[in-house]
Amino acid sequence: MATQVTNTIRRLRFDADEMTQADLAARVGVTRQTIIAIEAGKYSLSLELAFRIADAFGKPLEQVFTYQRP
Amino acid sequence: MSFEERNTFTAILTDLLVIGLFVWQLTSRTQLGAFDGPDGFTHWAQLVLVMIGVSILASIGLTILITIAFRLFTGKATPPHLVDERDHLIRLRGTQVALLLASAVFVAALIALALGCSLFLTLNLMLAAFAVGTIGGSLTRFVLQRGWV
Repeated sequence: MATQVTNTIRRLRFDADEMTQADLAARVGVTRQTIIAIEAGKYSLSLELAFRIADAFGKPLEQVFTYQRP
Repeated sequence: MSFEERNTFTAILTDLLVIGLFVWQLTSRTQLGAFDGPDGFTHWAQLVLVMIGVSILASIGLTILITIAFRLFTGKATPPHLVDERDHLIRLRGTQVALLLASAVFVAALIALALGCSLFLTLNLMLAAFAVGTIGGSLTRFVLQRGWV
């Protein structure tokens, strides 16, 4: 389930008053394990969840997720 | 541990317990000659049906025990009953692995029958196909849920 999409979630959480993974998970309606897998690049998330995460940080999608060409 | 992880962990424990009970009952009764004679297959089918009932009861009992253990160790009543998109994907992968394994052992049982093995051995292999598929699917789910792959 690894992905070519990298993300800046860890840094954005840190910038958002050190938001915990559990806090972010609760905000976007997934488990903490899913946030861990996304941050580690082990899960290719849906477009809808990507938008929800970007919205939780108040950032546009492209500032949170970047596609890495293989 | 998420709600789904706990469910998978419970399923693995239940599978191992029930498969162990199955193997123990089948081997001990085979040695006693319970499946010999014209009623042998009838007795075998009755045992399997009883064990299916036992597996349902074991599953309920273990779920209650693990819920209590979870509360004792974590101090929380229960993990949040949240199943997200990753959980659904992992369930699908687990089902795929379970079907693949069950099919492989089922074909092995058919090959064994075609090569002249007894019908009793073939039936047990077909039963094993479900057991292998179930435990393989559960283990796959657990490995994916824990992020080990």
